[in-house]
Amino acid sequence: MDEELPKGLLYNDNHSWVKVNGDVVEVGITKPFANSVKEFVYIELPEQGKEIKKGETYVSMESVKWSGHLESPVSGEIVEVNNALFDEPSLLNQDPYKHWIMRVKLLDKDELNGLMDADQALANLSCKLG
Amino acid sequence: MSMVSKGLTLSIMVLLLAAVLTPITFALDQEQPEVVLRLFWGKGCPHCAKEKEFLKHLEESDKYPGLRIIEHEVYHNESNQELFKLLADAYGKRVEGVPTTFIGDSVIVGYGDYMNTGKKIESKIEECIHQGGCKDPLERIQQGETPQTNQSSNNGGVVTLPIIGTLDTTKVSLPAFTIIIAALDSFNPCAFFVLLFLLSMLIHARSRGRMLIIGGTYVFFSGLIYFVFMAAWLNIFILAGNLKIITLLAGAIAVFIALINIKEFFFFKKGISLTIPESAKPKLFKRMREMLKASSLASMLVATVVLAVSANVYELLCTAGFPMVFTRILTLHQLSKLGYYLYLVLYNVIYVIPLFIIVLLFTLTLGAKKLTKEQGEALKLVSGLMMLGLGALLLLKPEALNNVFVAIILLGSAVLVSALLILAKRIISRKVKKNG
Repeated sequence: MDEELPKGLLYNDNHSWVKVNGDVVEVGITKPFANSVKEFVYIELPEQGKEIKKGETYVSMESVKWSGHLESPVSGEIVEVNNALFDEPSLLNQDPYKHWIMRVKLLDKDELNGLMDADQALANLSCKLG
Repeated sequence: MSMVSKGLTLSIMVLLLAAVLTPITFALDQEQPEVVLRLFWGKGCPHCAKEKEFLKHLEESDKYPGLRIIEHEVYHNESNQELFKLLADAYGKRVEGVPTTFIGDSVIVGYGDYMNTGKKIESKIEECIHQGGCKDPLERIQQGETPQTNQSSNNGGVVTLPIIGTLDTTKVSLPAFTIIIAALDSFNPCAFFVLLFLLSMLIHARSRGRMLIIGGTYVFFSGLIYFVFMAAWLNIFILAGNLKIITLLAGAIAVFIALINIKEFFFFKKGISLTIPESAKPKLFKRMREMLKASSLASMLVATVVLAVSANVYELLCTAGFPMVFTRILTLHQLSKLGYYLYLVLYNVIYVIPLFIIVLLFTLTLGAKKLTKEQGEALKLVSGLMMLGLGALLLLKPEALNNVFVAIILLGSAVLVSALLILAKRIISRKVKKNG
């Protein structure tokens, strides 16, 4: 597996990463996933101000090769969404770690303990694809 | 696949252009075999007058250049009366009344109207042409031939149904068939694909008015393009005539398309797929987003029309089956030019109704909905099974499609088999997941 996952981020097993900034986290998608589904053409962003639970759908997307939704790695209040992605979904392909999808104010910080670090996530990914 | 789909799209566009530019009044230039029809009529008989007018119109239209009509007045002409009896005896018929028409092996007694008897006479003429011509009935008898009589009356396929009562199936079959096929065609994942995304993007703008106008415009032009596409097929089939080979070809293509659609249910997007090409998706979505950024409603409408044209050209790849099958079956009925086009209008009105309903629902609820992969697969399965049935009938017994009940049974069977397959697939998936 050539793809590396950035250290310093946390990951779930549904192609999403989490960057912790105190009580507020940024959530986005991983590069291996973006590369596998090719160019994103449409994104249905989450609603700002809405409460979201871990495991619930937070984003629906359509790409050239894929159509579906992703599950939230955390629970909390969506305080900000990246509206630029609606106009240019392919930004996610260009730099998925720079272009977060939503910012969430955490309900329970302990939830982060259930997420994987880069090495664990990579091993998880390799196992699934290998 | 990208090169293949580009090639297909280009071929369809060339086909469209060529066939739509071909005038429908173009008369078949090829030599037609001779078909002789003898009509026995009476002066003062109103039904006779109607048939004579119909036959005169047929001669003047030059639709059948090989047709020769010989008329005999029997009320005031004894030798014609004897001739009438001679022919009637040879055809195994009693002399019942006038008008009586002898053509090929058929005797048609009476004349009601064009939709009943006129159509029947035309179909007999067509039958004769396919057989290489029909000799003069009198000549045949004089040469010692015995006609294989096929008694026809001027009543259509009248049936008696419970509750409904008497029903003339020749009058309802084609309209009902049109509605059934168009309705099924309208539930097409390809037709929904762009519209659903367009409306989802419009929800972002949170304007019901705009959603209604843009969505309505898109649906209207989608229907118009579909109509033009079907008109192209209509022109092609009319030019080709009622040659059996054309019907067989249409049936074979329908079966092929049907099998691809059915395959999608089991092996989604593996191998040949009749879907909007992947390479087209980024361009389509880019057009949608640019349309939303338009500065005025007018420019947004123009952009919507452009989007409708480009999206529907791509969608033609996966919606080709039903329009082709329907227009072929339509041309097997003897209708006027206006009649053919009116049926196409009916088809397309039914086709766009579900799309308009989607626009209304989105507008009222301002809620985004997407067609899931499973729903798309199910729709492809139902339409694939229905198309398989239609294609098979075109190959084996096209005349069965004149009966609306055949279409109803086909549809019912397609839905039932689909439901069973979907259920089986779900059960198997659950078991596979459970066993890990």
